[in-house]
Amino acid sequence: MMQLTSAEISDVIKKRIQQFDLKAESRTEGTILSVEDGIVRIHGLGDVMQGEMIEFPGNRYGLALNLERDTVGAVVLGDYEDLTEGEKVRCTGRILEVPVGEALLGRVVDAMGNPVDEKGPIETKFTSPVEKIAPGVIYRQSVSQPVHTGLKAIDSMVPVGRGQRELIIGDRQTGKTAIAIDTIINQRESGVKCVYVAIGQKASTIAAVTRKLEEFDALKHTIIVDASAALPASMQYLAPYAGCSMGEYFRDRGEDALIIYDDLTKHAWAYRQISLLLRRPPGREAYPGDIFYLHSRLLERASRVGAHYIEEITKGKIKGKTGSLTALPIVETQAGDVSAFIPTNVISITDGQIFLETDLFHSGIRPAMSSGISVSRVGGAAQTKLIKKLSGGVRLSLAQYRELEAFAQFSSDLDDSTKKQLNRGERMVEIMKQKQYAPLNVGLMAFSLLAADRGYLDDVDVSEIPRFEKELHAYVGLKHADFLRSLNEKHDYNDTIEAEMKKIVETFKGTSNWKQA
Amino acid sequence: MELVTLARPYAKAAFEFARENDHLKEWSRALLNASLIASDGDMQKLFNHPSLLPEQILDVFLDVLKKSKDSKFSNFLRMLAEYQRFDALPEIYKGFEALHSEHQKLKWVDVTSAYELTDSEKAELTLALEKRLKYKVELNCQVDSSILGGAIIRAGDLVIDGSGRAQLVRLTKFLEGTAL
Repeated sequence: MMQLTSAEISDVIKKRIQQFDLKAESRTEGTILSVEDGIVRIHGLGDVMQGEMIEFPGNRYGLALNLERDTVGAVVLGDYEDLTEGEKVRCTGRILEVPVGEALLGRVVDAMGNPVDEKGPIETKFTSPVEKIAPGVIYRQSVSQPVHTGLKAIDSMVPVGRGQRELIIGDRQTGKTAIAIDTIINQRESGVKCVYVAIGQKASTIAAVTRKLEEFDALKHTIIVDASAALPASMQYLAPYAGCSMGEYFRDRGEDALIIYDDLTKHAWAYRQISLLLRRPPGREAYPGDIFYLHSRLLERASRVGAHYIEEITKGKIKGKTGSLTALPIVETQAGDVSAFIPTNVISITDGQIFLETDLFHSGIRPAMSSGISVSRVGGAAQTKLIKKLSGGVRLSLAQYRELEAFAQFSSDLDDSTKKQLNRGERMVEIMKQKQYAPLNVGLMAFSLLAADRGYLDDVDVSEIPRFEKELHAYVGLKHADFLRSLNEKHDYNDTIEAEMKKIVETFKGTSNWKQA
Repeated sequence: MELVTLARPYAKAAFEFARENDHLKEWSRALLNASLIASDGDMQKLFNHPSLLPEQILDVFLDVLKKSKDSKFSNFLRMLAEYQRFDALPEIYKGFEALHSEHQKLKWVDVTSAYELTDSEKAELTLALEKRLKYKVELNCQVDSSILGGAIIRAGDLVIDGSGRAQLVRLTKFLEGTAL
């Protein structure tokens, strides 16, 4: 049976007819001169603007990118195979807009905001231009709240704050996407809305990510922007900006949002392709001259904004709330080369990076974060007291361990303090390991960190550490649920709390659960 | 490079020369003839013929043009032959005409209407367009019943579409919610 959609209710149709304006439309027209690989050259369009949407025959749109003396170079957003020379195109006088709003949560959309998940149309009345200027300095506020990734290694050593831009960089197959997905999963209770922008990835990978998020009940607070490798370069170029606008909707309403660009290397490739076809002069690695601006203007939009900004944007409807958009861009390196063009650019734009190494990954250290060169420039200020106090020694003992690691094979000739440091470092490396799709809440993470930092693991065999941690978490969850809840709610730390935590770990070490094996 | 871009300096030079010597009409006619010849399929084959020298092509050209009486225009064609730009002639003519109408403060406007316009309607339309475009307007009227009603006005790039068909299309998009 043919079905009526919700847009076909008589009242809705009546209202629309009332709103319909019967004025003759006056627009500028042009003629297609050539179509090549998604790039259309147009003659005419005398008053077209840079970045304006152009209407092609067949309800298709394009983006004017090159304004030359006699022609306009535009990219077609969608299929271009059937466009032919001589066809008429028209100016629209508008910048490209995408739908935004709560209705997009839980959905998979393309770079234009059209649903691609077969869950029906998206009912939202809000739209937003894809290209926007980032909030100015006056409107900003410093980063002071954390985004918990739920990964011990990251939350303790490279904390990410709300409104920060933290790059995830590494070779292929080092677990970059895994970190991003775990972070999204960990936002189930935090209220942070997530946007995952997949650029130039395999459609099967995107499907797998969607399924995983659904499985862990994390799709309901997430928007997935799908610009897979099968789509034209123009869509891949546009996707991060569209995703950013969707995230900004939440930021501008006093909420917190997180956006993941997976990954910007492929975004740069798509833009390089468009630029070369538009015959813009190539520069280093054949990228166009404005490749830095391409990423800097995108990442500048991730920000923490003050209450007065939100009040201004919402015209006084929302008061006294700050908003943030945290960005986790991902960049793929080739054979660990961070001095390539795109990695250096994005490293210099972001507020820190999480560096993932193939060697670590293969030696079983996952997440494969290299603690020496991973940094977070602003996240420290956003760390909760609980994690901050307990993770102070992590970085140091790992650094000392790395330095002494070479001597480890001569262990019999080493003095006691060196042995102790090696012992501690080895356990620290072990406790930092974490399985995929298993982000930890703050309370449990605090117990793991306390056990490692205060020496409770020193007498535990390294191979037993994963079991120790698992049993400890189970024990705390079962016997001290109230205490754990208060830790998770308050994130506070003082001598009383420390004493209580120590007591719990000590008692646990005496229980049959742990001793049995 | 686009032909329009190649044609621009030629069109500008031809126009300025003709204006200074007060030969605008003659040059316009001569360029029209030349551009018609240049757009001919057989001639175009000739332009790109590998074994023909530019002078030979020029000879053929002048032959077809029945020996242009204006020696200056022949010089102009010689220039085109020298730089092998005969294929840009139609664009040169268009550029020349654009400059010409700009000079006369005149715009040719194409009007497509669903039915034949009466003289008074034409006069009214001309007046309205002159006011809007701030140019003298010459109408070029056509009838096309498929636009259902109203009219479509084209002045260069600018298109004012007040046809019934366009409004129906817009209404469809509006009701579908796919309108911009």
